[in-house]
Amino acid sequence: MTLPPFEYARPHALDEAAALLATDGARALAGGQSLVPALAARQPGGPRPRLLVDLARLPGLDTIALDPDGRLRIGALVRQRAAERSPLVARHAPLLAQALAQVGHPSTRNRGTVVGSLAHAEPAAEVPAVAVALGGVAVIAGPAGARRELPVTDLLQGPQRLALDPGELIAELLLDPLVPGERQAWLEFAPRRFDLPLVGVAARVVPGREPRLTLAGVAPTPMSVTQHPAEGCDMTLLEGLDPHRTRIARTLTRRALEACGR
Amino acid sequence: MMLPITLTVDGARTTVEVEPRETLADVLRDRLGVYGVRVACGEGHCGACTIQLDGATARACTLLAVQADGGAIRTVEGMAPTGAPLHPLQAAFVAEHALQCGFCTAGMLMSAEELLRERPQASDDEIRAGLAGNLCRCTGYQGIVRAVRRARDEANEGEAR
Repeated sequence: MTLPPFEYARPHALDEAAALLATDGARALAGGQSLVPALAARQPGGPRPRLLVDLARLPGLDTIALDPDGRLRIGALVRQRAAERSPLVARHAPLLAQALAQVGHPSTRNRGTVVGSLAHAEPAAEVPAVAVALGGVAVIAGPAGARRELPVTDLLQGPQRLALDPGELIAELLLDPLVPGERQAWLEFAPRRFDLPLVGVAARVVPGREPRLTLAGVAPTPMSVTQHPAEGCDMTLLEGLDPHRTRIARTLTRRALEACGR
Repeated sequence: MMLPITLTVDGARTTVEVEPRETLADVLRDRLGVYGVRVACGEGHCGACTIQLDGATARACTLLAVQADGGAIRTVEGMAPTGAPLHPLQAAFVAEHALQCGFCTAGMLMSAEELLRERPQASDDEIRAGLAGNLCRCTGYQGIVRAVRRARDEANEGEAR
């Protein structure tokens, strides 16, 4: 369907973007692979921005780098496809590469960004859960050069809801790197392959430690648990949640741990 | 609010004034007459409008035309110019009866071309996965997968020779 009307700006500096985003009805646009379909669907309660602030020309945000402290730094404009194929991601965050291979289709991953998918904050989506699983921290840029870091667990407030103030945007995502001996796996169940999953599970297994699991699709935001839910200790966490999804979560969790050699 | 954008469409550079809300599919069809780009769902579900932007597939219905400003676009119309022999993938689609109504074909060809360019030895599973974002309501997909397999094998035989 024809999109509703909006104004459009394409700033060339982060400060300028923040100033535009501080205005009423402004919304950030990265790859647009979630936002543009939502605009086209014109559903009641859907997005009706007055102004789209296209981040595409902001300098320095399209790179993946390893920080001196070892964290993986993913800029706001890094496409999902680029991260999926990045040797740095493959080496230091294989969980992200595995999960991205199941996000949408090649044609959407070519355009969609990793950070954009995080910002869309879809409860069952891959990227938010992976960001939580990898101890993600969002580097947030604000008006007049302001910068702050916020753990992804605090950033994600609920479906499509972020703890961002007007004028703020996620400039970068920091992820913990793989530790020696660690194995990671992403498993998901979708009624149709490559659709948004019903449930996804990120597993991190480090020898000598409790496995760390993060579940997508069972709660409004990704849920971290430290033990296989079927083994007992986290059953309480899953109580009251959709029984169909929690059953799938248990099966996926078992398989994810097996994939990590447990 | 009208904005001038520059696009190179199948090799021809053009400047066109667009509204920010116009999708690339709208602009290609309604302003530039590139009707080889098909729009079916218009909401990013079906893949019929798949084009290539700077060598990578994208859905023209969920890309704002202003986002493609400065980009090089390839459509099905650029695969085999009028009078030239069909592109090997197009010929394989004909040979394997990979289309009935043909509405999905342009998008299928764009996705298949990227797939074989990136993975010349694509397995059957990779072919299916690579085309999973393109829906076809006529063929049941068997002919389409056979066609891509045929194009893959012909290209590989050509190289072996």
